[in-house]
Amino acid sequence: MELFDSARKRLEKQYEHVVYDPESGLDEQGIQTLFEAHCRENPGEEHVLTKAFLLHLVCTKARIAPEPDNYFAGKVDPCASLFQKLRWKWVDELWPKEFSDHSVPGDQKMFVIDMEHSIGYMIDTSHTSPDWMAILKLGFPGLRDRAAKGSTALHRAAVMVYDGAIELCRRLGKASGNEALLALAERPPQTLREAFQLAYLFHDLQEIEGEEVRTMGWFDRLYIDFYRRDLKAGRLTRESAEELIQYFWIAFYAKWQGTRFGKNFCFGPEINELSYLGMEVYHKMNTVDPKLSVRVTPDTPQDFLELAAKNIRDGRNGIVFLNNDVVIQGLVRHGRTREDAENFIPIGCYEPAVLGKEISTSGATHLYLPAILLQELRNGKEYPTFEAFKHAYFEMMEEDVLLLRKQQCRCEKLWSEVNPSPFLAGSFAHCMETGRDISQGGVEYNSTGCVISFFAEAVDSLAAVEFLVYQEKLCTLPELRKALAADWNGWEKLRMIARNRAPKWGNNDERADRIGREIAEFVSPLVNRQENARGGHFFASLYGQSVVERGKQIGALPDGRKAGTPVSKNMDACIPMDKNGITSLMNSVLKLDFSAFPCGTCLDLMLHPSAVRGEEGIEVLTAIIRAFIAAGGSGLQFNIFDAETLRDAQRHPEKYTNLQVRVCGWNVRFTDLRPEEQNTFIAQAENIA
Amino acid sequence: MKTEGFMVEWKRFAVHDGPGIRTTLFLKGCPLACVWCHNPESVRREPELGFRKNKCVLCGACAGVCPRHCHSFAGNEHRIDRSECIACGKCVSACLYDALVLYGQPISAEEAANRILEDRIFYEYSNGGATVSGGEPLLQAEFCAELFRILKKEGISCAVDTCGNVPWEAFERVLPLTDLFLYDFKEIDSRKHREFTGAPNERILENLTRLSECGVPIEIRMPLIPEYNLSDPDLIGAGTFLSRRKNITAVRLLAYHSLARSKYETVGHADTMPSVPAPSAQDMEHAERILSGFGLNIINTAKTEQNGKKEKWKNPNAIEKDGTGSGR
Repeated sequence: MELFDSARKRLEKQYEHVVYDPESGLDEQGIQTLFEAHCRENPGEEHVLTKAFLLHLVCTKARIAPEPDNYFAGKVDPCASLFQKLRWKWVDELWPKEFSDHSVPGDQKMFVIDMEHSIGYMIDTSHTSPDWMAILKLGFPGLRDRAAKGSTALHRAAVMVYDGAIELCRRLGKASGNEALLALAERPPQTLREAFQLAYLFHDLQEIEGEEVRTMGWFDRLYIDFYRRDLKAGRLTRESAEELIQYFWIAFYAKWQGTRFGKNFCFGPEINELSYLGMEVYHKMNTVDPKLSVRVTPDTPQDFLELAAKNIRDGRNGIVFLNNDVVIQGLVRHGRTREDAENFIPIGCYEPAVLGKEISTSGATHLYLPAILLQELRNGKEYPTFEAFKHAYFEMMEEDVLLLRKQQCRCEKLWSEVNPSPFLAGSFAHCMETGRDISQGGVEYNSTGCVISFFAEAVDSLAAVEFLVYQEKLCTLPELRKALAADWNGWEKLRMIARNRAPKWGNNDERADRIGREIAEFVSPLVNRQENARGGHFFASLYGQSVVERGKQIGALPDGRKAGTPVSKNMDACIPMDKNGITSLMNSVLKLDFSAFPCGTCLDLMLHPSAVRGEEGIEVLTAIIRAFIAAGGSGLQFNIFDAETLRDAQRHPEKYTNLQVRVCGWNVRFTDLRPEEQNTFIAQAENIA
Repeated sequence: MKTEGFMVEWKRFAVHDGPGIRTTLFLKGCPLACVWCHNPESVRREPELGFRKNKCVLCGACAGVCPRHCHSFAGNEHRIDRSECIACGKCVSACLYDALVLYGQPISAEEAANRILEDRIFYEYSNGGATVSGGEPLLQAEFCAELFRILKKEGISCAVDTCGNVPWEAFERVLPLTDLFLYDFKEIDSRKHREFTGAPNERILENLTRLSECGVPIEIRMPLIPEYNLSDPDLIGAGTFLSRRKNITAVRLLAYHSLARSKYETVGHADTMPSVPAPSAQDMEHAERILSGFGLNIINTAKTEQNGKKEKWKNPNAIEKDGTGSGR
């Protein structure tokens, strides 16, 4: 096989203009004709079987592309629009019936943002992980045989799709002369190459079926035995394994060209020789995809942490660090057994869930904290004290959360009819025991994530109300309402006092941090005790995302923010309100109890490149990580650049094709961002100069 | 009586003022007046008003509170009559745009220590600590000693960043409490030294000689300015002197840059910064080679990859594993 370095350009483009062999099968039109015939002949068929039929059809009959010059062949015409149409047909049938009470604003379906009530809810088809352990242990034939033991519609559907996958392995294997694929049609993987091939193909087929794969599992732990066996048998050397990893990883980049959330590979907590190799290869590749996460403990070897820090220092910022012990503590505190909790994996960006036993839908619901404050202010009531004002805020929050629960439960009831997933469900032992799909509570832990969003704006706004109205008495509540209604126009002096004199989250200022703690301590149990429609619970996470888009939907706030401007991300301070540097920001953040947010949290640290230069810079980075973890912090990620570089990149994107920025839980090329998104990074970078 | 210091500003997450992550306290007042000074706001001992023109929105709030009528507005220009200013700070409080800043405020040793202790966990994991800088911190040696006494009780590592031009007695006050001296070395030729810094260097060199006999680690910091102190004789003279002194752990070469130029305007001082370009990477490597020839441990900060000569972080709780350790 061609060496990766010389093949890289071609591999990066492997999904552009895929040339399907017209002799190898049907095009989308042909598949559609067969599928429509099936639907006509089987009216009233259970949706899970219809879906399975379509996936089976694609695997066995759709055109494929031979790839003799890639270790990992796998291109089948996904017939994406057929799956899309099928899903939306079901949504259009069922959604209006379920939500006939007009409780959904506008004509939103599947994904709803109701900013009037400060909530968002959706059928989350974007945050899953299959059971990678079972997949690698059983292979397609084993998964098929396990499914064949049951007789429910789900079982039959699973048998159908795995039969399809086996046939696809044969077709692709023959067309590409790929022995690994031919072997996978017969048995579980035995070599590292077969294991990677299986993982890649499984991921691809699951996404064709319609549930996004948001983690590829533990890189070191899942693959170490394959690696060691191959080394021992002389099938691989460290160098040839490096080639294999690069061919494997680049496929994830190639599919979306680094413009989507990407796929996460997790490292640790047990560090083995594959952990080191992977981290070295990541530095060498310098790619925006895949993303990595590291489960850090006090025992994480320093040389491994330094390797990770070196990646960060050198702009490979697709790495998030998670506090292993705090995450486990949070999961145990919220209903998982200790043994299960130790098998956690970050799904999506940094949202922990138990691998092989949990469907966490970590992006399903959102609670927009600052919008709740605006709801409260809209009611026009007077409050004699700040305590009373705060109390009303929490009451409003409770009302919103109850509405959120109600709406989300209705979404979840539709899930199994709208997007049944036999291919994914078949990987879970529990789904196969119960005959229930992942959308029907088929796994052990069926959670609903609730992203508690824009914490900093909420803290700063409450702190500003206290400061302006109740402490300094610079304005009354009605005056503040007027100022906000006018988007602060005509109230510039008051706005500047709110911005530059009122206490702010992220400065180790107890006046603000105390309010932050109170919000966190109120919202976490409130959310975590809500039951969902799948026999599980809501689980709170604490981070802000989509900061430009959501910012546009949130009006002027008491902290001096103008309507429509970007909001803060993750656990960060409002831009540019962390005026005391990153240690103070961390000190504020560390006042919260992160085990109360079992569905994940993350702090973004932005550092100037001069702070992390050289070997000393690596030591600074590892010290930050160690200190943050030791003090009970949880998720941590970095952005390292200076404002001048970013401005230059805005002007001359061609010079900065490799410049990565960490957006929220994922990293992209800076030049792929829209100008307004770029500007938020520049504003943040200016603050650290 | 509580010992008070007179400070300019704090720098948290300071990573260039000694090892690890540190908090640096900049004190006000300096016995030198280096033409290239990067902290002109810390040179004079009296408080001064700073004005950041780019932040001013010409709202006039400052003029409304100034007891001496220093602030005036003509068209789009905000003028400050510094001859009348008594640095009372009233306009600073009134400015909601952070355009005005007061350089020089009293702080007690206890208060300073508390601020420093906020970040102690970061010092612990990075072998960092506290640094006093300036200005010349040893002009306030009693305050530094008092601050260090409190910090030492808490196990915090303490460093002094000094120009050396103070009476030896000032060193003696902080010596027993100081873990590291960052000692500026600007020029070996006393005549040139006087020309560039306003003072000869005899006392500085003598103090360095005495200090090097005391057993405390000393890191030498050399700002390198083309056309000023970057000639071969300058470097050879420095190398000759430094190589004969004990306890010098490293010589850190700092490439001159003029990024601080705007600070002169902010604080209303005449700009004395040399109009010379920053030394090139070749200049820096040349200096590094010459000084290394004297057996000195040189840290060239212009290089992205430096030699790591430090002790690695060790997990105090780690159990020795049987040989397989890192797995490599």
